[in-house]
Amino acid sequence: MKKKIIIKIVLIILLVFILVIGFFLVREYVARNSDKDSMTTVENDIEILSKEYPTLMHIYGEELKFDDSISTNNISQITSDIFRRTDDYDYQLLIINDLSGKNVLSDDEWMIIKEVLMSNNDINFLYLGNKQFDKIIEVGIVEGDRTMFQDGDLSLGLFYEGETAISVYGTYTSTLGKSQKDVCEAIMREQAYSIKIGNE
Amino acid sequence: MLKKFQKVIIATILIIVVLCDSNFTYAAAPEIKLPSDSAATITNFTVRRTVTVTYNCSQPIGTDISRNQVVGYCYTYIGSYRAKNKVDGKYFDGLLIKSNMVPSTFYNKNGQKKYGFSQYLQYSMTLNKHCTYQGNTPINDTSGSDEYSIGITGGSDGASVSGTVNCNSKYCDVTDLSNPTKNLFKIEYDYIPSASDWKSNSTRNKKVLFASTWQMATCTWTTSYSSYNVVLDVYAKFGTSSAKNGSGMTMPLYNYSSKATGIFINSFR
Repeated sequence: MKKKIIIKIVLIILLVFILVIGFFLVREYVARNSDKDSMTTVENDIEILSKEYPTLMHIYGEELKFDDSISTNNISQITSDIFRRTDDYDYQLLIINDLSGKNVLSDDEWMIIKEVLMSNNDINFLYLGNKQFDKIIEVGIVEGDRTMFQDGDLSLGLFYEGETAISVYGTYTSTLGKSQKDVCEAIMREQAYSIKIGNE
Repeated sequence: MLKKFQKVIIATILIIVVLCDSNFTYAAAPEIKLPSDSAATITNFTVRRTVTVTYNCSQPIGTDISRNQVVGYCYTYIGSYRAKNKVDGKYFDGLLIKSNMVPSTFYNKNGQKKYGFSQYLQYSMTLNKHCTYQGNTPINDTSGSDEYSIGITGGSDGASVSGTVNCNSKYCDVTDLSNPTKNLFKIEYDYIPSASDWKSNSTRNKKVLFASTWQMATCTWTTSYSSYNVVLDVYAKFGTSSAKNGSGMTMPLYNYSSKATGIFINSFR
């Protein structure tokens, strides 16, 4: 008899415990989503890349001015060392900014990029410009051929959606705004989209 | 008794955790399930084109939105396949296409928040002269069903690909205006058939337009050519609104929408 009472008390305590935990979790969920609902797409992308899935942007070539909360690393040479993982970041994005058409990478550097991308699904790649399209396809970084390009294309990338590497065309084109802000927002959107789809 | 109850408790906690961790702002991508013994060589969806739609109305109704303002994105994936066996001595080829329409939220010139909404999506492709359109595709009966078939049959030689696309009907309540003919593959998803459809209490408004949505289509044909290219046009349009219930729409009509196109050129070898 006494044993039954103890069991009942334990069950009630557990039930209350679950209800309390559930209440707080639901409240947290509602708060989190109502916050997101009030954000613009750009604000939401910044939140994803700076807090939800911290991402380090390696920038080769002309500087790109991202929002202050986005972590960037300007580089002048491609080596495998720059992609060393740290606890600070979940993802990395290598951006080759060649909108001026003046940046030339060596064959060795292209091969390093390919090897890094093929063996890490948390590292993405985006080339800005149109002078090196053929080289990128020739090296085998992205899937496709010259016919895949559309007039006005100014980017080519490889973005992981989970385990799947996706060759991405059209992230930035001549029809979009030309300011630094426009370029950076297009890059952030592509990276944030790939991360979100990959983590569904 | 206690053990049973413990299981229930653990299950309850797990369900709560999973529910609270899900992000419902992104619709799940349609999942393609093809049989392992598929009689076709399939290139999966590993190529994507991002079609960014900016505010570019030729006759804008509202002037408070900046030119170049992004109002939505259409992420289109393409896959292709070739049946392993010829059909009546010809290759049996096809395209699989899926698009994620993602409206954008932004501030207008006056600092007021605006919401993009999906308005229209069209895939079109003029088949090459040597191609003969096959089958009943596109199959896009997405109203009221959680699952629709992308099955493709190829005739007596047994060339076939079959599978299902799981797609929550909540995100697919759109009007289909397919127009496949012998030489033209054209499929339209018209989210707003006419201005009169825009009502504040419209179910479609609340469920679909402001959320991320997926659409999918297939096109198949036979040809005697082994190597050639096909060109697919993707045309997406988005409108904008002051509120997510559809009120204060800036450009709900066909001629005043922001639009952009993307082209896929797919090689068959």
